[in-house]
Amino acid sequence: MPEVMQKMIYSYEGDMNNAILNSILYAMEHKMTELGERPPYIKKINSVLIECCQNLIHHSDQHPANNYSFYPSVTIYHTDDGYAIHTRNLLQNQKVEKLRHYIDKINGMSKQELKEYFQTVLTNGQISSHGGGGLGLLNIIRKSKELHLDYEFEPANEDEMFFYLSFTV
Amino acid sequence: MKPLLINPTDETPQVVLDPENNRFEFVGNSYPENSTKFYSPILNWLKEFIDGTPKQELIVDFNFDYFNTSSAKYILEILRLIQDHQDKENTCLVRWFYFEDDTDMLEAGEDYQMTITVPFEIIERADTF
Repeated sequence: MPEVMQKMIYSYEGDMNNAILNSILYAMEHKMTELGERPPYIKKINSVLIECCQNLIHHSDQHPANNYSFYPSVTIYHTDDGYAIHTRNLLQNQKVEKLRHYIDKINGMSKQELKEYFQTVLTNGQISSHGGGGLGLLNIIRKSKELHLDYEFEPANEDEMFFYLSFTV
Repeated sequence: MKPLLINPTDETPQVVLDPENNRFEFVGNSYPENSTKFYSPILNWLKEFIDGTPKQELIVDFNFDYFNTSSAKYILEILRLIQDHQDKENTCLVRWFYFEDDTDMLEAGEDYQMTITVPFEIIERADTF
């Protein structure tokens, strides 16, 4: 079996905010340009990274101070298929089932169904206090290669789970 | 009415809403951490303009490099206000710009085009990224 090429090109673990996001976008744009990627593809990857990192900003549960293994993280691999993006964040136990159900639902949708569902949420959905509209994961899955998000939950402590998300663009 | 002018940052667009010079445009990136905070004054300005301006042609340019999904909600709100202005028998036009080969931005424009009846031009920018 041929070995699958997978090289880590970026990894960040720590508090997430827009200043960190901007430095990730800047670094990735340079890295992908070096790797010879075309500008529209670089834009696609970076627009997905915007959604991922802002999900980490808005949906990560507070981590215990000074415990790095509880911080949000984002890691990007260059693979034969494209760029594999992996994120991790803490989530309260009670939010897990709803999220699992939601991802399972959109994982089963075709390209056209995802487009229509995006339109429905865009035009009818409510806007949350920080301006989120429940469209982040939908936007990510629509840009993913297989129209599929891999995920896993793992207990972190009594009240929280780690949420691992990965996909290729 | 006093224009609303906002300088661009890495994550927020340049905004020009200037009735006197007939310039209405959004240029650059839009991925603020809190879209509500950024877009509320813009929506308020537009509502006031539309309520207080019975007759004025309105051509609005959307010229984004990146926008996040929470901005997408507010872009739709802006388009709905332009629709309100057209419903009051004003000539309105939306111009949506995208870079050559940026099919995501092209499709986003096509999605928005379907949500309103305002004439909606989708224009390719030939310059490089």
